[in-house]
Amino acid sequence: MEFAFDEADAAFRRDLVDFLDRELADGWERSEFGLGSAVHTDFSRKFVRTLAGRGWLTPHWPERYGGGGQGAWQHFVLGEEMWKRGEPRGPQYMNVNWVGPSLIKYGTEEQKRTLLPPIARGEVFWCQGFSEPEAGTDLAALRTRAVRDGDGYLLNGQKIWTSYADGADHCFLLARTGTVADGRRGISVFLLPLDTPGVEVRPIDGFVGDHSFNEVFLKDVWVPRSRLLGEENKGWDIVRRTLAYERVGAPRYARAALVLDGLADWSRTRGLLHDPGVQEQFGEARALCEAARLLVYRVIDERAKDKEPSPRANQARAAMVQAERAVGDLALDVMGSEALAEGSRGDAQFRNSLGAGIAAGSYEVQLNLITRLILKLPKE
Amino acid sequence: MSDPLVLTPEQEALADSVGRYCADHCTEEVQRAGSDAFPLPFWRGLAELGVLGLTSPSEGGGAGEVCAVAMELGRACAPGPWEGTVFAARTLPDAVASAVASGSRLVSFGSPPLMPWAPLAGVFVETDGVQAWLARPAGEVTPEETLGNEPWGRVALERVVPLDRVREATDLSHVALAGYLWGAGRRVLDTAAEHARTREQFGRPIGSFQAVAHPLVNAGLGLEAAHKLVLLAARALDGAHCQASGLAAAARLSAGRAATEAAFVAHQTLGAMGYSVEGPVGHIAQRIRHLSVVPAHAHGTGEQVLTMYAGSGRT
Ligand SMILES: Cc1cc2nc3c(=O)[nH]c(=O)nc-3n(C[C@H](O)[C@H](O)[C@H](O)COP(=O)(O)OP(=O)(O)OC[C@H]3O[C@@H](n4cnc5c(N)ncnc54)[C@H](O)[C@@H]3O)c2cc1C
Repeated sequence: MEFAFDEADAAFRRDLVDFLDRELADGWERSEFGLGSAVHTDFSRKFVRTLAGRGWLTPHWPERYGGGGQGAWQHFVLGEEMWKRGEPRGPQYMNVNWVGPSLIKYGTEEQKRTLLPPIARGEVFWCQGFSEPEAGTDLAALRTRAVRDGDGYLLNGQKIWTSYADGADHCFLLARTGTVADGRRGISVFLLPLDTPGVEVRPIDGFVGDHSFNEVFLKDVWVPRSRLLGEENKGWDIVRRTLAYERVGAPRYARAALVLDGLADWSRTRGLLHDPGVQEQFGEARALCEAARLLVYRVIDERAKDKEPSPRANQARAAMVQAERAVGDLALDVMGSEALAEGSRGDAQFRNSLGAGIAAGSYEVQLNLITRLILKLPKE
Repeated sequence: MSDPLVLTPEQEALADSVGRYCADHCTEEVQRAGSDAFPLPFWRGLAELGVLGLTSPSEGGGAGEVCAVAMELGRACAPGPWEGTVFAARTLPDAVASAVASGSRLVSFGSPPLMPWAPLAGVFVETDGVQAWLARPAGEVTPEETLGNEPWGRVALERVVPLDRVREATDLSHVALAGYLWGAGRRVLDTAAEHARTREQFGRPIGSFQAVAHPLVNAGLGLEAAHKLVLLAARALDGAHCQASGLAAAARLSAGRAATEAAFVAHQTLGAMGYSVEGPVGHIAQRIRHLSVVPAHAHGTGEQVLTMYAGSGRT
């Protein structure tokens, strides 16, 4: 394992930083706030096209699908620089990280031909239709049904907490093609265009920034067979494999560190950094951000070497949650009442850090997996 | 401890009446009322119960009464400038104090420029934690939305008259806030425990997973300790004990910490539901986090706690 970036990666990062300095100089304000807000998503629509124009939207995809054929590290450098700026790609990071790659791995030639190019050009958004009211952590309990119907399937059911669904073009949807008793073995992936008749998206008000949460209702929604990804009933494997790296797909520590820098500036100008208590808190938060960064690098290293996904990803994700929370607490402690004003750094970081332990795999589940897979303790 | 740390029967009766009033009138809508829709009728109802003028020298309500009321208001997640009202009723000249006690004027209490409740306030009280002044705005109030959904504002103040009884009013306001935070913390933790009993994943209630259960227990321990501390502080204040001020400050900090932990655990227990604005804990958790932040004028609170040691005879 080696953590010095080689010259090519370092040069890539330099180019990227220059590019972002230029591109984000205008119209990209308050970048550390509100991933998932309408303002953010609107900005990202234009921005991802520019990024695609530079070949930097999907640099790690194979060239024949509109990628640049680059490696895992470059993909990651890209993610890190984006999160440092508050992720101007908006929901697009999901396409880039796992929607596209799973299409590349499991899609038919026709699916790849029709669905990949619009992603690579930055023209479409996808959302993730996994969670249901009764199936959260226990995702394999999902009930949305897909029944064969002529040359396709009829979908019925409900998804919930679907981020970005209100503005997305497609949904990477899990539905049950087998029986509930089949558990994981009865689930399939559908690539559902959200303008299909019978799909209804209803927003849920959330308070992690203006993050858009939605319920997605499916009533007799017909999808052609050509929209099934991979084999029927093999959806769980697809999800497990393609999302293996998604635990660390969003380098949240990079944003937390950015917020921390902002807080340090804020404190410096008010003469607060002399206080030993404040110094200690800054030190701890910074250390947690750095620890998260290194643990994530370890996972990327495995990925770059094409190793099987390992529980190190769970460690890295748990560390990221800790880092985000530490920065959130620090923000409120250091800024005092000023942190309470809506839209302040303190307020935004606190809200973001609340969600960190739930979205993309809860903190408790990470700890359970670490317990079993690393400490080798028996299951509860 | 020779006598149990509980409220007196009269204080219990007061708590009951406030509790009943809140059960009937502090609806979800009232609890969540935004800055543009402060529920004045609810606030005036509290005035009719005698809650807002409780601490005026003529009423002579002590820390025990403040504590009894505060815990109920916290449980109900009642909106309004409670801490400032407790302070103002004790310190303001009669004419102004009575307008506060009747609920016809709301109090903005703090240190400028960022003042709680400023856009709606009819009385401004400035404090630096040691002294306090009746004040008036020296310009426009610029409204600010806040984490805890309280209408705050930026405003420059002009001091009008210095106020008396600042020490005792500060102690009472610490108890007022501590009691409120404890009550709100208890409420979110109860809600979370109920959720852990009923929400099933993997075919069993999530509360059967120790990863879910133990944090609830720990948060509960913190709240139990804070509860005793708030009662103890109230009793010490009413008995003019030499460590009373220190205990009041300690109660404020401990209740804030315990309630914040409870809010956090509740969020984690509820999963994504915790992030839904309409969910059962989000609005309370945010208010808890908001009220637990130590404002500039209370920065001496930690040192205040240390005065307890000075009085302990060890120095
Ligand atoms: C900001 C945000 C964005 C989201 N975006 C999406 C999205 O785009 N698409 C989508 O499909 N979903 C999305 N979700 C939903 C997310 O995937 C779920 O919230 C998550 O799977 C948890 O499910 P739940 O909320 O139902 O909580 P529950 O599963 O009910 O869990 C509640 C609590 O119990 C704990 N728990 C449950 N089982 C166990 C166990 N066996 N051992 C120990 N602890 C356990 C959990 O850790 C949690 O603390 C999002 C959530 C958030 C917060």
